[in-house]
Amino acid sequence: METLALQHYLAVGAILFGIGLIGFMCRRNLIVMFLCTELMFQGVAINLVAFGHFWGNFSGQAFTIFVLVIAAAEASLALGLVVLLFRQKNTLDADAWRELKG
Amino acid sequence: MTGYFSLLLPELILSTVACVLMLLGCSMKVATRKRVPILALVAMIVVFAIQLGRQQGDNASVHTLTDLSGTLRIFHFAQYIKLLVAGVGIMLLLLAWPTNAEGTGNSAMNVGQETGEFYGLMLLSLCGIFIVAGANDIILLFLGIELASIPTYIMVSISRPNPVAQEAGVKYFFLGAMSAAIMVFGFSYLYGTTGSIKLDQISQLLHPASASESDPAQTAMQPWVLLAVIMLVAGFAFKIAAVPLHVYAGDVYQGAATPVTAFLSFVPKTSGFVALIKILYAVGGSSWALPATLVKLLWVIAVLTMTFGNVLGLLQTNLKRLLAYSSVAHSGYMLTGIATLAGAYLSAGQDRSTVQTDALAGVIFYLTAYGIMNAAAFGVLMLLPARDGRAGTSAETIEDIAGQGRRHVGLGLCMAVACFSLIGIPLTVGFWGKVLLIKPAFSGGNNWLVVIIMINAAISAAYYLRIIATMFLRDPVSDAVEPTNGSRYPLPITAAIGISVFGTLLLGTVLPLTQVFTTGTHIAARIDDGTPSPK
Amino acid sequence: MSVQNGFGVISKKFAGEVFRAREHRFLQFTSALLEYTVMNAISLLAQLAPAPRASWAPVVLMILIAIGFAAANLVLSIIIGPRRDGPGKSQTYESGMVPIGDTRKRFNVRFYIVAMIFLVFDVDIIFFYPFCTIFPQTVLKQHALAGPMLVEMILFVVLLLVAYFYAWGKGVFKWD
Repeated sequence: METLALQHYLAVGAILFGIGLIGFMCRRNLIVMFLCTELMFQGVAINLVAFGHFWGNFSGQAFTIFVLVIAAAEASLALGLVVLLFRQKNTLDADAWRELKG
Repeated sequence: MTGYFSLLLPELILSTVACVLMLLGCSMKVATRKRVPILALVAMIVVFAIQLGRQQGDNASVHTLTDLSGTLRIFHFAQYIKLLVAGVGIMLLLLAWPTNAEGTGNSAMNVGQETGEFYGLMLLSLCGIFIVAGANDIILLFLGIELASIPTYIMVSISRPNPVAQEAGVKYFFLGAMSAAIMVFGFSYLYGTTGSIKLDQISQLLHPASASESDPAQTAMQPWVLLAVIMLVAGFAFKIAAVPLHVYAGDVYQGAATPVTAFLSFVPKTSGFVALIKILYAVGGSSWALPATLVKLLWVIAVLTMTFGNVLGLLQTNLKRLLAYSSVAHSGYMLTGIATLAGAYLSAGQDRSTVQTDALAGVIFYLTAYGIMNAAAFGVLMLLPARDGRAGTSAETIEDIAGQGRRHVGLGLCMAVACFSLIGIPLTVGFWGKVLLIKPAFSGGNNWLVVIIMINAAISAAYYLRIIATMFLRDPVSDAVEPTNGSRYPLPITAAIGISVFGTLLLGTVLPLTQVFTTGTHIAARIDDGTPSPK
Repeated sequence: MSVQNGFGVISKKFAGEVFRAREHRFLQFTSALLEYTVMNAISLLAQLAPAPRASWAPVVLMILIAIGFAAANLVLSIIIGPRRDGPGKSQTYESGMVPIGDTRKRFNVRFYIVAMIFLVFDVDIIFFYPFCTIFPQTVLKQHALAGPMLVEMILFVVLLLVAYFYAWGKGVFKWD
């Protein structure tokens, strides 16, 4: 039975990232779209931890912490913005926001 | 210890003042709200003075300033970018000055009671570019870029009491979060392929000192590094509004209040360009040995960005949207400089390093020129009234400014100067910007690029001249509303327009002054002196 | 024999309880039987399987049985169980209280703000972990970075305090 190598972790990270990216493009609900960007960040975090383990230094883990913090900052911003929008239109459908175009 | 903090002094001043402003933002008092921008301005001026004092001449004995663990490396490039950002930041701050009685904004912007937060976020965003400029660590680089962008998402949303602003803020935020994820994916692979997060160490690992300097094989890059760099370029492309990630620009620039639009057209763009230059320097080494694939990619992005920006600009009737696409096009001009810089290793012969220095200096000079000349265009829009005098709106559509050049001659002339400079007509700084981009492109053998820049400048002339023609040749619209609150030409905004217009004209006509700036940018084109950073 | 004062209801309920108990005993018996057989089968399989892939057989079997058991219970209760619906029975169970409204109630927007504050402070805590693991060693070894590290952590805590005071000043903690 083969052990888990770097490429397995990277594959998981890339798949998570890809699912997030595709979800971001296809879904129209703002909350789900935001969840998809979080998914992308988590895929990257898996990459970073795997690389950190591979190289045997802590830089990857340190980077992961900062990525998580940025993701949290964006999450709280998203919460605020989404609440603001929901109060105005009573929907979270991204297509309901079409006043700006050209 | 003291060296460590003096290294970070401008950033510390900006972030401390930002914290103070945030706390002042809790106060509901009108007097506090009026004091907030003054504090912010004082902080910016202090930082500008510090940076002015830190400009090093062309002195080889000056070594890179690093901190104890080598996370910061500050050399000519970083110092120049910081000075530029502080200078343009003062102008942007003056443009956003609240001039009404409650201290909540001017005729183009209304932040309500969130004045403290607004200026605090502005300072934090500028602080982000300072960190990007000095970072030698991909973590710090990423954090700097995010610090420069996240406040702008909030600034767009709170800039005026208008659902359009919130729509713009949400669009900007969601695409920004996605591009940040793409960028950090690139960073993770850059770390993964080299095992280091320090940019100078990455550079040494990818280009060992033992390898010969002019070997074309130097440009060979592992596919994973290439993947990392392409992802990073995609992430930065969002910040600089380059094709194919330019789609947000029109909506966001139109939805945000005009001073915020002016801010958006400079700050995220600068952070994107600075980060792009630093990453290319890290993966290409001091001789910028970059693979042909990457050069082609940058070339295509540059050409598409210029052309899309200008062609879409032709179709717009909303002026802020028009300026958004013009900003996309200017990103494209600057990207041609980057493409020349990246391609010089493979195409140029003996004078390779001259071409590279010229190209990088050209990009930095263009960034300076764009920062100076763009503020006037937005400032004039802010002082002209919209036809429906709602709170937080000023002139936005081309109908709004019809004939206004005759009514407000001074503003009309300022707009004309800004537009001529944005086209790149001689006697303005925009002309020298384009010349300094075209010259290295020629000597680097990128003749097609030069032709495309010329064609694009001609296309852009069409819509810039349309603005001037509308202002002066058409009859004023009869139902135009004059702004009621405050004086008609508030001093801070007028001062910003004045600085911008005088800067544009002086740098365009007084050649010794232009010479000072071109020398400065050539010094700034040296990113690092290669001294090993402490382990 | 029914009494008109609600006693009849109680007796009906009681009959139901008796039935429930019978059903329950039956199920208990069946499941005990199943469990006995399965455990024997598993141990048998485990002895029989030296190959590495076959050693997963008990796990697969376990999963199959878990699914089968759950499905059997559902099917059996549909077949055997009596069906007496009423308005009281179809109500949502809310710890014995009379339920108010449905689950799709909109929450007070303050919860979002509290969630935001929690999110930010909660994540900032993770910076303390690496600091706590490294800082004592740097102090013991009198490393050059010990001083700056302490100053940085104090600055970090001060920044968190600024955020806290900002939230306080904005009235996030007032709940009325």
